[in-house]
Amino acid sequence: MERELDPDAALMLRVKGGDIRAFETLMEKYKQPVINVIYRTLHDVAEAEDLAQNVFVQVYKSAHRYEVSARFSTWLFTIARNLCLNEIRRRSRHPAESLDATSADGEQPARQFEDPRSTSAPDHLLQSELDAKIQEALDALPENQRIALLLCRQDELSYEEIARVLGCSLSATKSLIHRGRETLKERLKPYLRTGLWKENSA
Amino acid sequence: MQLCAGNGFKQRRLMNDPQYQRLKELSWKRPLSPEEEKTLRELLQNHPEHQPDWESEVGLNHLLGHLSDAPLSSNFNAQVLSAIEREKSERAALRRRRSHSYAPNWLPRWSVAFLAVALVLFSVQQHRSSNRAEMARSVARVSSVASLSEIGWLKDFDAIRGLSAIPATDDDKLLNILETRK
Repeated sequence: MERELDPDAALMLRVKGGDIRAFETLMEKYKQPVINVIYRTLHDVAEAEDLAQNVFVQVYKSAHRYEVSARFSTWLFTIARNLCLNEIRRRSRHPAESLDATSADGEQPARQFEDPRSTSAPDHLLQSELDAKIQEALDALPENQRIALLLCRQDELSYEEIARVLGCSLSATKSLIHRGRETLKERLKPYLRTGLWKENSA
Repeated sequence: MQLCAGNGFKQRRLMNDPQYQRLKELSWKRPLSPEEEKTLRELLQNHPEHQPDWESEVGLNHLLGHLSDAPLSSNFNAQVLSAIEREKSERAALRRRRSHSYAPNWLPRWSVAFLAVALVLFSVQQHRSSNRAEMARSVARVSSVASLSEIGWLKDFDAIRGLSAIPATDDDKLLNILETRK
Protein backbone atom coordinates (compact mmCIF):
# COMPACT_ATOMS: atom_id res chain seq x y z
CA MET A 1 0.00 0.00 0.00
CA GLU A 2 1.38 3.41 -0.96
CA ARG A 3 1.99 5.73 1.98
CA GLU A 4 0.21 9.05 1.84
CA LEU A 5 2.64 11.91 1.24
CA ASP A 6 2.79 14.61 3.91
CA PRO A 7 1.45 17.80 2.18
CA ASP A 8 4.40 19.79 3.53
CA ALA A 9 6.79 17.20 2.14
CA ALA A 10 5.03 17.53 -1.21
CA LEU A 11 5.59 21.30 -1.04
CA MET A 12 9.21 20.71 -0.12
CA LEU A 13 9.66 18.48 -3.14
CA ARG A 14 8.41 21.39 -5.22
CA VAL A 15 10.93 23.66 -3.48
CA LYS A 16 13.58 21.11 -4.39
CA GLY A 17 12.53 21.63 -8.00
CA GLY A 18 13.07 25.40 -7.59
CA ASP A 19 9.47 26.49 -6.84
CA ILE A 20 9.85 29.62 -4.69
CA ARG A 21 6.05 29.93 -4.21
CA ALA A 22 5.98 26.54 -2.48
CA PHE A 23 8.80 27.75 -0.24
CA GLU A 24 6.84 30.88 0.66
CA THR A 25 3.79 28.75 1.51
CA LEU A 26 5.86 26.63 3.88
CA MET A 27 7.46 29.70 5.41
CA GLU A 28 4.09 31.35 5.94
CA LYS A 29 2.80 28.25 7.71
CA TYR A 30 5.78 27.62 9.96
CA LYS A 31 7.40 31.00 10.66
CA GLN A 32 5.39 31.67 13.83
CA PRO A 33 5.79 28.19 15.39
CA VAL A 34 9.52 28.24 14.59
CA ILE A 35 10.13 31.70 16.01
CA ASN A 36 8.04 30.83 19.09
CA VAL A 37 10.23 27.83 19.88
CA ILE A 38 13.43 29.81 19.25
CA TYR A 39 12.26 32.84 21.21
CA ARG A 40 11.16 30.77 24.21
CA THR A 41 14.46 28.88 24.07
CA LEU A 42 16.78 31.90 23.77
CA HIS A 43 14.57 34.64 25.19
CA ASP A 44 15.94 37.28 22.83
CA VAL A 45 13.59 38.85 20.29
CA ALA A 46 16.22 39.99 17.78
CA GLU A 47 18.23 36.80 18.01
CA ALA A 48 15.06 34.72 17.63
CA GLU A 49 14.12 36.58 14.45
CA ASP A 50 17.62 36.22 12.99
CA LEU A 51 17.77 32.53 13.83
CA ALA A 52 14.27 31.88 12.49
CA GLN A 53 15.27 33.55 9.22
CA ASN A 54 18.41 31.46 9.18
CA VAL A 55 16.31 28.30 9.67
CA PHE A 56 14.36 29.06 6.48
CA VAL A 57 17.50 30.02 4.56
CA GLN A 58 18.98 26.66 5.60
CA VAL A 59 15.80 24.90 4.51
CA TYR A 60 16.04 26.50 1.07
CA LYS A 61 19.77 25.85 0.76
CA SER A 62 19.40 22.19 1.78
CA ALA A 63 16.32 21.61 -0.39
CA HIS A 64 18.38 19.73 -2.99
CA ARG A 65 19.37 17.20 -0.30
CA TYR A 66 15.82 16.80 1.06
CA GLU A 67 14.49 13.22 1.11
CA VAL A 68 10.98 12.32 2.21
CA SER A 69 12.08 10.05 5.04
CA ALA A 70 10.19 11.92 7.78
CA ARG A 71 7.61 14.66 8.06
CA PHE A 72 8.77 18.06 6.94
CA SER A 73 8.03 19.60 10.36
CA THR A 74 10.38 17.11 12.03
CA TRP A 75 13.17 18.17 9.68
CA LEU A 76 12.37 21.86 10.13
CA PHE A 77 12.34 21.75 13.92
CA THR A 78 15.53 19.69 13.93
CA ILE A 79 17.25 22.53 12.04
CA ALA A 80 15.73 25.05 14.48
CA ARG A 81 16.87 23.06 17.50
CA ASN A 82 20.41 22.67 16.14
CA LEU A 83 20.69 26.40 15.47
CA CYS A 84 19.39 27.14 18.99
CA LEU A 85 21.93 24.80 20.56
CA ASN A 86 24.72 26.35 18.47
CA GLU A 87 23.64 29.78 19.67
CA ILE A 88 23.51 28.65 23.31
CA ARG A 89 27.02 27.21 22.94
CA ARG A 90 28.25 30.36 21.22
CA ARG A 91 26.78 32.49 24.02
CA SER A 92 28.43 30.40 26.68
CA ARG A 93 31.78 30.86 24.90
CA HIS A 94 31.37 34.57 24.11
CA PRO A 95 28.84 36.15 26.44
CA ALA A 96 27.90 39.54 24.92
CA GLU A 97 25.33 42.27 25.11
CA SER A 98 22.45 42.14 22.67
CA LEU A 99 23.10 44.24 19.57
CA ASP A 100 19.58 45.57 19.88
CA ALA A 101 20.23 47.13 23.25
CA THR A 102 19.96 50.91 23.28
CA SER A 103 23.31 52.42 22.39
CA ALA A 104 25.28 54.67 24.71
CA ASP A 105 24.44 57.81 22.74
CA GLY A 106 20.77 57.14 23.30
CA GLU A 107 19.93 56.14 19.73
CA GLN A 108 17.15 53.66 19.20
CA PRO A 109 18.05 50.11 18.09
CA ALA A 110 17.84 49.39 14.34
CA ARG A 111 15.09 46.81 14.71
CA GLN A 112 11.96 47.65 16.61
CA PHE A 113 9.14 45.48 17.79
CA GLU A 114 5.97 46.73 19.31
CA ASP A 115 5.99 46.48 23.09
CA PRO A 116 2.47 45.39 24.07
CA ARG A 117 2.93 46.66 27.62
CA SER A 118 3.31 50.25 26.46
CA THR A 119 -0.12 50.49 24.87
CA SER A 120 -2.23 47.85 26.53
CA ALA A 121 -5.00 47.68 29.04
CA PRO A 122 -4.36 46.36 32.60
CA ASP A 123 -5.40 42.79 31.73
CA HIS A 124 -2.81 42.81 28.97
CA LEU A 125 -0.26 43.99 31.52
CA LEU A 126 -1.23 41.11 33.75
CA GLN A 127 -0.84 38.72 30.84
CA SER A 128 2.62 40.03 30.02
CA GLU A 129 3.67 39.74 33.65
CA LEU A 130 2.42 36.18 33.73
CA ASP A 131 4.24 35.61 30.45
CA ALA A 132 7.43 36.89 32.04
CA LYS A 133 7.01 34.54 35.01
CA ILE A 134 6.45 31.55 32.74
CA GLN A 135 9.44 32.58 30.65
CA GLU A 136 11.53 32.88 33.80
CA ALA A 137 10.49 29.37 34.84
CA LEU A 138 11.22 28.06 31.34
CA ASP A 139 14.64 29.73 31.30
CA ALA A 140 15.54 27.94 34.52
CA LEU A 141 14.94 24.53 32.92
CA PRO A 142 17.80 22.54 31.40
CA GLU A 143 17.82 23.25 27.64
CA ASN A 144 16.76 19.71 26.65
CA GLN A 145 13.70 19.83 28.92
CA ARG A 146 12.87 23.34 27.74
CA ILE A 147 13.06 22.42 24.04
CA ALA A 148 11.10 19.20 24.64
CA LEU A 149 8.35 21.16 26.41
CA LEU A 150 8.21 23.80 23.68
CA LEU A 151 8.08 21.20 20.92
CA CYS A 152 5.33 19.43 22.83
CA ARG A 153 3.19 22.55 22.32
CA GLN A 154 3.46 22.19 18.54
CA ASP A 155 0.31 20.54 17.24
CA GLU A 156 2.04 19.21 14.16
CA LEU A 157 4.60 17.18 16.10
CA SER A 158 3.73 13.83 17.65
CA TYR A 159 5.76 12.46 20.57
CA GLU A 160 7.62 10.19 18.15
CA GLU A 161 8.53 13.19 16.03
CA ILE A 162 9.63 15.20 19.05
CA ALA A 163 11.86 12.26 19.96
CA ARG A 164 13.36 12.40 16.45
CA VAL A 165 14.01 16.13 16.70
CA LEU A 166 15.67 15.68 20.09
CA GLY A 167 17.55 12.61 18.93
CA CYS A 168 16.46 10.45 21.86
CA SER A 169 14.06 7.60 22.56
CA LEU A 170 10.31 8.04 22.98
CA SER A 171 10.43 7.16 26.68
CA ALA A 172 13.36 9.55 27.28
CA THR A 173 11.41 12.30 25.51
CA LYS A 174 8.30 11.75 27.63
CA SER A 175 10.46 11.68 30.72
CA LEU A 176 12.08 15.01 29.74
CA ILE A 177 8.64 16.57 29.26
CA HIS A 178 7.33 15.12 32.52
CA ARG A 179 10.30 16.36 34.54
CA GLY A 180 10.12 19.78 32.90
CA ARG A 181 6.43 20.06 33.68
CA GLU A 182 6.95 18.98 37.30
CA THR A 183 9.57 21.73 37.74
CA LEU A 184 7.30 24.30 36.08
CA LYS A 185 4.37 23.28 38.31
CA GLU A 186 6.60 23.77 41.32
CA ARG A 187 7.86 27.18 40.19
CA LEU A 188 4.48 28.44 39.00
CA LYS A 189 2.56 27.08 41.98
CA PRO A 190 1.26 30.51 43.10
CA TYR A 191 -0.26 31.12 39.67
CA LEU A 192 -1.76 27.64 39.47
CA ARG A 193 -3.21 28.00 42.97
CA THR A 194 -4.76 31.43 42.50
CA GLY A 195 -6.32 30.25 39.29
CA LEU A 196 -4.84 33.25 37.46
CA TRP A 197 -4.81 31.11 34.34
CA LYS A 198 -8.59 30.66 34.69
CA GLU A 199 -9.16 34.42 34.74
CA ASN A 200 -6.91 34.96 31.75
CA SER A 201 -8.33 32.14 29.73
CA ALA A 202 -11.88 33.19 30.40
CA MET B 1 0.03 8.02 59.37
CA GLN B 2 -1.28 4.78 57.95
CA LEU B 3 -3.87 6.79 56.04
CA CYS B 4 -1.12 8.96 54.58
CA ALA B 5 0.88 5.92 53.56
CA GLY B 6 -2.25 4.48 52.03
CA ASN B 7 -2.88 7.69 50.11
CA GLY B 8 0.70 7.73 48.85
CA PHE B 9 0.37 4.18 47.62
CA LYS B 10 -2.94 4.96 45.90
CA GLN B 11 -1.46 8.09 44.30
CA ARG B 12 1.56 6.18 42.99
CA ARG B 13 -0.81 3.52 41.67
CA LEU B 14 -2.83 6.09 39.75
CA MET B 15 0.32 7.83 38.50
CA ASN B 16 1.46 4.49 37.14
CA ASP B 17 -1.95 3.72 35.72
CA PRO B 18 -1.27 3.58 31.95
CA GLN B 19 -4.71 4.98 31.14
CA TYR B 20 -4.27 8.01 33.42
CA GLN B 21 -0.75 8.54 32.07
CA ARG B 22 -2.02 8.34 28.48
CA LEU B 23 -4.73 10.91 29.20
CA LYS B 24 -2.22 13.19 30.86
CA GLU B 25 0.14 12.95 27.88
CA LEU B 26 -2.73 13.66 25.51
CA SER B 27 -3.73 16.71 27.53
CA TRP B 28 -0.15 18.07 27.22
CA LYS B 29 -0.65 18.28 23.47
CA ARG B 30 -4.36 19.00 22.93
CA PRO B 31 -7.70 19.29 24.72
CA LEU B 32 -9.21 15.92 25.53
CA SER B 33 -12.11 14.66 23.42
CA PRO B 34 -15.51 14.18 25.16
CA GLU B 35 -14.85 10.44 25.22
CA GLU B 36 -11.48 10.92 26.88
CA GLU B 37 -13.00 13.44 29.32
CA LYS B 38 -15.54 10.84 30.34
CA THR B 39 -12.87 8.21 30.96
CA LEU B 40 -10.91 10.70 33.02
CA ARG B 41 -13.95 11.65 35.11
CA GLU B 42 -14.53 8.00 35.92
CA LEU B 43 -10.91 7.54 36.87
CA LEU B 44 -10.96 10.58 39.15
CA GLN B 45 -14.28 9.55 40.71
CA ASN B 46 -12.57 6.36 41.87
CA HIS B 47 -9.55 8.35 43.04
CA PRO B 48 -10.76 11.79 44.22
CA GLU B 49 -7.42 12.37 45.97
CA HIS B 50 -5.87 12.91 42.55
CA GLN B 51 -8.07 15.83 41.70
CA PRO B 52 -5.33 18.35 42.76
CA ASP B 53 -2.75 16.63 40.54
CA TRP B 54 -5.09 16.76 37.58
CA GLU B 55 -5.98 20.39 38.28
CA SER B 56 -2.35 21.41 38.37
CA GLU B 57 -1.88 19.63 35.03
CA VAL B 58 -4.81 21.52 33.53
CA GLY B 59 -3.55 24.77 35.05
CA LEU B 60 -0.10 24.35 33.52
CA ASN B 61 -1.63 23.41 30.17
CA HIS B 62 -3.58 26.67 30.25
CA LEU B 63 -0.55 28.74 31.24
CA LEU B 64 1.60 27.24 28.48
CA GLY B 65 -1.26 27.41 26.01
CA HIS B 66 -1.72 31.12 26.64
CA LEU B 67 1.90 32.07 26.23
CA SER B 68 1.90 34.93 23.76
CA ASP B 69 3.45 34.50 20.34
CA ALA B 70 6.95 35.81 19.79
CA PRO B 71 7.02 39.13 17.93
CA LEU B 72 7.61 38.69 14.24
CA SER B 73 8.60 41.54 11.96
CA SER B 74 6.19 42.25 9.13
CA ASN B 75 8.86 41.82 6.47
CA PHE B 76 10.07 38.44 7.73
CA ASN B 77 9.39 36.65 4.41
CA ALA B 78 10.98 39.44 2.39
CA GLN B 79 14.09 39.33 4.59
CA VAL B 80 14.43 35.57 4.18
CA LEU B 81 14.00 35.81 0.42
CA SER B 82 16.51 38.64 0.16
CA ALA B 83 18.99 36.65 2.30
CA ILE B 84 18.55 33.74 -0.11
CA GLU B 85 19.05 36.04 -3.11
CA ARG B 86 22.11 37.59 -1.47
CA GLU B 87 23.59 34.19 -0.85
CA LYS B 88 22.85 33.08 -4.41
CA SER B 89 24.53 36.16 -5.90
CA GLU B 90 27.51 35.82 -3.53
CA ARG B 91 27.92 32.22 -4.62
CA ALA B 92 27.66 33.21 -8.28
CA ALA B 93 30.21 36.00 -7.78
CA LEU B 94 32.57 33.59 -6.07
CA ARG B 95 32.20 31.15 -8.94
CA ARG B 96 32.82 33.97 -11.43
CA ARG B 97 35.85 35.16 -9.52
CA ARG B 98 37.23 31.65 -9.48
CA SER B 99 36.74 31.21 -13.22
CA HIS B 100 38.32 34.62 -13.94
CA SER B 101 41.21 34.14 -11.67
CA TYR B 102 41.81 30.68 -13.11
CA ALA B 103 44.63 31.79 -15.50
CA PRO B 104 46.54 34.07 -13.12
CA ASN B 105 46.30 31.47 -10.37
CA TRP B 106 47.24 28.69 -12.65
CA LEU B 107 50.04 30.40 -14.55
CA PRO B 108 52.45 31.40 -11.74
CA ARG B 109 52.11 27.98 -10.19
CA TRP B 110 53.07 26.31 -13.46
CA SER B 111 55.84 28.83 -14.11
CA VAL B 112 57.38 28.16 -10.72
CA ALA B 113 57.14 24.43 -11.32
CA PHE B 114 58.68 24.81 -14.77
CA LEU B 115 61.53 26.94 -13.39
CA ALA B 116 62.20 24.42 -10.64
CA VAL B 117 62.33 21.56 -13.12
CA ALA B 118 64.59 23.57 -15.46
CA LEU B 119 66.89 24.41 -12.56
CA VAL B 120 67.14 20.78 -11.56
CA LEU B 121 67.86 19.70 -15.15
CA PHE B 122 70.47 22.43 -15.53
CA SER B 123 72.18 21.37 -12.28
CA VAL B 124 72.21 17.75 -13.36
CA GLN B 125 73.64 18.78 -16.72
CA GLN B 126 76.31 20.91 -15.07
CA HIS B 127 77.23 18.13 -12.69
CA ARG B 128 77.52 15.66 -15.52
CA SER B 129 79.66 17.97 -17.67
CA SER B 130 81.97 18.82 -14.76
CA ASN B 131 82.33 15.09 -14.09
CA ARG B 132 83.19 14.55 -17.73
CA ALA B 133 85.77 17.37 -17.70
CA GLU B 134 87.35 15.95 -14.56
CA MET B 135 87.50 12.53 -16.14
CA ALA B 136 89.06 14.00 -19.30
CA ARG B 137 91.68 15.76 -17.19
CA SER B 138 92.51 12.51 -15.41
CA VAL B 139 92.78 10.63 -18.69
CA ALA B 140 95.04 13.35 -20.06
CA ARG B 141 97.30 13.09 -17.01
CA VAL B 142 97.53 9.34 -17.35
CA SER B 143 98.19 9.55 -21.09
CA SER B 144 101.04 12.06 -20.60
CA VAL B 145 102.71 9.72 -18.12
CA ALA B 146 102.29 6.81 -20.52
CA SER B 147 104.00 8.75 -23.33
CA LEU B 148 107.23 9.52 -21.33
CA SER B 149 109.22 6.58 -22.73
CA GLU B 150 108.92 3.29 -24.33
CA ILE B 151 107.97 0.32 -22.31
CA GLY B 152 111.35 -1.37 -23.23
CA TRP B 153 113.34 0.37 -20.54
CA LEU B 154 111.40 -1.55 -17.94
CA LYS B 155 113.36 -4.75 -18.77
CA ASP B 156 116.45 -3.24 -16.98
CA PHE B 157 114.26 -1.97 -14.16
CA ASP B 158 115.68 -4.37 -11.55
CA ALA B 159 119.26 -3.57 -12.49
CA ILE B 160 118.63 0.13 -12.31
CA ARG B 161 116.82 -0.26 -9.01
CA GLY B 162 119.82 -2.26 -7.71
CA LEU B 163 122.14 0.66 -8.52
CA SER B 164 120.90 2.57 -5.54
CA ALA B 165 122.16 -0.27 -3.29
CA ILE B 166 125.77 0.11 -4.51
CA PRO B 167 127.95 2.12 -2.05
CA ALA B 168 129.11 5.59 -3.11
CA THR B 169 132.79 4.49 -3.26
CA ASP B 170 131.87 1.99 -5.97
CA ASP B 171 130.27 4.80 -7.88
CA ASP B 172 133.51 6.74 -7.77
CA LYS B 173 135.47 3.72 -8.99
CA LEU B 174 133.04 3.22 -11.83
CA LEU B 175 133.31 6.87 -12.75
CA ASN B 176 137.14 6.64 -12.83
CA ILE B 177 137.01 3.59 -15.05
CA LEU B 178 134.64 5.31 -17.45
CA GLU B 179 136.87 8.38 -17.57
CA THR B 180 140.05 6.37 -18.25
CA ARG B 181 138.24 4.61 -21.11
CA LYS B 182 137.52 7.90 -22.71
